[in-house]
Amino acid sequence: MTKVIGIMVLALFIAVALTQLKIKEAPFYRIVFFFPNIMSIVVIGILWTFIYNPSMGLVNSGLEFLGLESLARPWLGSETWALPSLVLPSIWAGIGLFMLILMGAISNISKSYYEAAEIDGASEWQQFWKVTLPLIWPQIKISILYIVITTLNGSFIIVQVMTGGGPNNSTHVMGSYLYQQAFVQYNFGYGATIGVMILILSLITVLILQFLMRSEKTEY
Amino acid sequence: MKKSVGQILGRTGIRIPLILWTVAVLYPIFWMFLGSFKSNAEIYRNPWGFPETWNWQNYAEAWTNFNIDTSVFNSLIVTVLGAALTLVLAIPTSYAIERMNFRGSKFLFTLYVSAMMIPMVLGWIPLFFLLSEINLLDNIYGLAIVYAVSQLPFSIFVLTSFISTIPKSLEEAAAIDGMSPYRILWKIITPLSMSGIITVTIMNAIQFWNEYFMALIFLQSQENYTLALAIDFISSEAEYTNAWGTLFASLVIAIVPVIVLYAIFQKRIAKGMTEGAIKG
Repeated sequence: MTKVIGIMVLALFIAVALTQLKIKEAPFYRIVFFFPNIMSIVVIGILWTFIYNPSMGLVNSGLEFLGLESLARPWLGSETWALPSLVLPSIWAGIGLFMLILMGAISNISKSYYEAAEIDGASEWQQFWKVTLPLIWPQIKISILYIVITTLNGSFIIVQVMTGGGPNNSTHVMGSYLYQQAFVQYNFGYGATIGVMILILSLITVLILQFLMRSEKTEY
Repeated sequence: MKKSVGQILGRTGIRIPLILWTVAVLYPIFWMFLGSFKSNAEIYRNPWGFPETWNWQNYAEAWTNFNIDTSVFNSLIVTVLGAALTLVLAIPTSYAIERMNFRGSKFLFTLYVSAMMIPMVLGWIPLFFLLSEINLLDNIYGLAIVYAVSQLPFSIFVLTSFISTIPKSLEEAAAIDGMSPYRILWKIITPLSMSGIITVTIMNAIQFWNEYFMALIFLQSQENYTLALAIDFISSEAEYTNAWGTLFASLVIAIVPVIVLYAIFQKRIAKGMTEGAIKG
């Protein structure tokens, strides 16, 4: 859930910043931000395992550098912190795609709406809330659905690479649990049951989300 | 329109998060490159700075002692074979679906596209038994076939949209001149949809090169490991062998081809990914 909000807010911000506020080096940012999307999840997972590494990782040394040693902890080794720690890599890796989707949506909005809004005296902030957001709502909806589905179906890979479901099974998601049951402990029947559960759950989630987010198409 | 001081400040303010995120994206990647040139002792002593001496020993080590050479080779076979097989299967199918209006062609298209929505997770267990039944378990050629089939819906989806933009009159003219449907497919459709074919192939190749989980399930013996598996293996061993430098080196080996492809085909990849996502 944190992941959905995190990705959407950041992606939306970046997309708006790169398309609306004419920044010179925008193409550079676009290329850089998209790059993690095509990196192998194994590479991402291992890289972030290092970043969280208790003795030489970036997070803990950064905290020490800021004088916050008390906050340093073995991130992936503690039962309470392991799961939240997995959220950041998935945001890091997932943002580029949704940034591109939203950017595509924003650049499809006709310039005349903004001109009209400007003549009516709307500030940039107002323009964002009243013009941009309603018009790209369909794409935001698709993106949220997509993030939820891929999280349900795909997040086990990063779990598998970074923690293997541990410590003490605290970070298992359904996919990695299926893997463990079926291919480590050879309970194939049990694994298949989890698979069906995943399918049913993702179908239900999609239906609920679509119900929650239905809103009439905004047209001007 | 004059710009007020506040607006200029606002512009700079907008840039700060952008720059921060750039650093957050690039720094770990740079760090990985730097780490691959350090000795073990240096990684512990000075994990974040530049290496004192640039040595290539880690690469040599990874290549010879940690089976990276065989796994790079395996990954190459799987990637090339998988991508080629996908094309062989996807081009005729999309042509047939798009241009020959036989009974159920619409239904077939819907069937293929909805197959994209089914999570791959569901396929693991049945595929595992299927592969072991036909003796393709723990076999990279079997894996290549599974990969090709798994990317088929996406490829067909993109290719049909490309083929639908080719004017029909070209085919009709060719048909009047006596070309068979197969020759039309080969001589007219394939060259004209080359751009789509390239996009799909790059996307698939990157996908296959990076894939981890199906390889984990369907490959068992070490000499069949693909690159992702080999790296994961080194990573889990590294706690005992302390081969951190080697691990970094193998990560670099895995990521360089992707970087090169991305640098060349940046626009195509971005377009392919967004198209593939929006369809769902």
